[in-house]
Amino acid sequence: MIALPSIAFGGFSGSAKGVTARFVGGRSILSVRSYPTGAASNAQVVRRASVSRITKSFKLLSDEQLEGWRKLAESAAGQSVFGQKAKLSAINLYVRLNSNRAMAGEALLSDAPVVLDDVPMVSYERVVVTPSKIVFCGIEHQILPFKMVVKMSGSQSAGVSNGWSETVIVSSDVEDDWGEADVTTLYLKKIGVAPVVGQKVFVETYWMNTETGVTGQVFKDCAVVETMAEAEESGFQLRKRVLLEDTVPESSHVSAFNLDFSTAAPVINHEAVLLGHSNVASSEVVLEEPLDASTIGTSFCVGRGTGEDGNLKPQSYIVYMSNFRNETTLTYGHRGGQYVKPTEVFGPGIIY
Amino acid sequence: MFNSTGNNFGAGVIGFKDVREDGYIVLNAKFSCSPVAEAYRAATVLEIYVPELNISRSTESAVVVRFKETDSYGRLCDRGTFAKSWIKDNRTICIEKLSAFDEFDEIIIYIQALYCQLAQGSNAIKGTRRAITAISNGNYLSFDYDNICVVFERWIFFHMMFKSCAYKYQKLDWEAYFDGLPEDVTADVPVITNGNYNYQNLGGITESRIDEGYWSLPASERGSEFGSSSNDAFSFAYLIRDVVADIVGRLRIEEATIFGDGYVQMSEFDLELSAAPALASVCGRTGQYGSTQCKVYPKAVPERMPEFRAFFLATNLSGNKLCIHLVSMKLSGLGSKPQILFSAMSGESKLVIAIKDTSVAVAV
Repeated sequence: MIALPSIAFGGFSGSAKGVTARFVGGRSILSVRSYPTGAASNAQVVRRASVSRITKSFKLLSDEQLEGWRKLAESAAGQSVFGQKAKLSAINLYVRLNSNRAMAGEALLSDAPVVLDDVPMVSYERVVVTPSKIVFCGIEHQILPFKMVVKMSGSQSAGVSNGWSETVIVSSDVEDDWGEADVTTLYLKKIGVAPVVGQKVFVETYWMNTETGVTGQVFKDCAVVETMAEAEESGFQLRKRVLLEDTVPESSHVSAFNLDFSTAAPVINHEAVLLGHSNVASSEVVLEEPLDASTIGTSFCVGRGTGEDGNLKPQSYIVYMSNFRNETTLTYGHRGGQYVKPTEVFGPGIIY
Repeated sequence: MFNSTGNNFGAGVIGFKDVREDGYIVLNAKFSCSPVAEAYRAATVLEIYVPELNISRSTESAVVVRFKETDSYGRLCDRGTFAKSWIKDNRTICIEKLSAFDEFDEIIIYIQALYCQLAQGSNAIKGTRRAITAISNGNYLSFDYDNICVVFERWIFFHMMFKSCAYKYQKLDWEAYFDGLPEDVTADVPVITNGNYNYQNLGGITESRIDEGYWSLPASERGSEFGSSSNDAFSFAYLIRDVVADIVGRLRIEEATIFGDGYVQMSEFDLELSAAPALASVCGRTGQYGSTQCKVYPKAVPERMPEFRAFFLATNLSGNKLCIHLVSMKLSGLGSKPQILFSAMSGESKLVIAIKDTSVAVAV
């Protein structure tokens, strides 16, 4: 620090022991260096490390690459690709785009992207927040390389009208699954506490182009935490599906399994590899959690040899569902065609 | 109905029948193409370009791909399998390209598929299984228990399972009336068998015809898999009905199942009354083993429908025994709680019947 005789006369600039002085517009400004309070989370450590690493890597760029980033920064300032018009330096743009990419698990980008395409606005029907489920419904799907960044706050008093400053990144690479994104696990992992019924959760979402690192306009939203019964009353229906991890492995004869009831049509969607068992032309699947009685029915689906040995034998299967002693068993019974093991079943199957 | 606007495998224009419902679509088409054509060879996925569809993507559905071939002994070796098919965007239907067909001059593709989406905000809706009873001359054709359909207003799901054929009919053309199958379905439907020899990685595939409730399969189309027993021959198809737009003011009650008290019900119910002369036409089936009466409650009755009574002939086919019943039908209680009472007037002391008759209606 350059110490002048008296700070009362200005001209005082530099840093010493966490205090920084600068002389701006004829005035001396003193500021205390800020330090993060509390222990940094793993994500924060990774984020800070990646920014530092990215900043250092800028110095290693070739002249040609630097020129590319300089040109891009000039055009980016006028394009409002970050939701607000601002002048950007080459290093600033380089760090921002690469930090975004790092957040989405992408590698460092040395060459500047050719163009910064427009990133779409997030659009979804509703976000349902209950203590047990946090689901975005009816997301307008965007194909890769776009992924959705979700920021959410912990539960706040219902009277709070502006709590978006409290949001933290829950996930930076959400891909909707048929317009739906269940972020329950991510939320609980990040926030640590389940949402409290009657309180408010603030939400920010935006798309990110994971190839270029460019992010879109931030969409701000908030939701009052409901009970599941209230959510269902207002039209939300929990997506009913059964995955391989929902089956009892020692009692099931499948190596892949995804049965989805959420079609709103007279069909359910089958996707499974049936291994068969003993000398019976069928495969059974026992579920960890029983299906409710309203879901239970009988279905038909097509099957085909899995093709590993070139076998593509076409078949049909009837699917019996039964609840017995609080346990649901699905039986894929072979009906038409030549029975082969293993067989892949797929496609919409009628249910009655 | 619509025509394709193009494709990437040289198939020419493809005509589609379509039923568009909320969140899903049923498509029917049959066309051929050549796997040795340059465009087909160049394609990695077969894409059909179409005018805008009502859904912009779908899960994978199944279509049938087959070729026709006769071996050196003159035996039919028509073979094929299911290929995956999906809607990529609202103007593109995709079909998986299987290398098993690469060497053939021509293949036939049958699209008789339903394309659905997931996470639609509510779960699947259940239909009603309808058994199909095959009626052939002397019952020389028999079909499995899972010879069924599930009927909706504009389309049906059809699962045919063949069982056997009487010896003396084995080399003749086959035809059966499929009682229970809507008569407004017309389609060429692939029939899939084991395919025991040649191209053992594929199934045997031939083609049946469905027209006005009749199922037919010519002898010239059948491979050796169709002997006296089935070899698990089956069809699996989502078929579109040729539904004629309903006429306004028709005095008609049509319900897949019309319920009464307890377990009483009449299925496949269709009643129509014409005014002058007053004729009533009734279809339906019920099985009341402990009673000679059956009272059911229709959900809705047209406003101008009067109370009436009519007598119909009904049948009961049990094994090779055919019973004819005279049945009285009375529609009453209109407005508050409409009800239809069927009573056996002769025949057995139970009401196990299928009605399909037209009769004079008398006001009550």
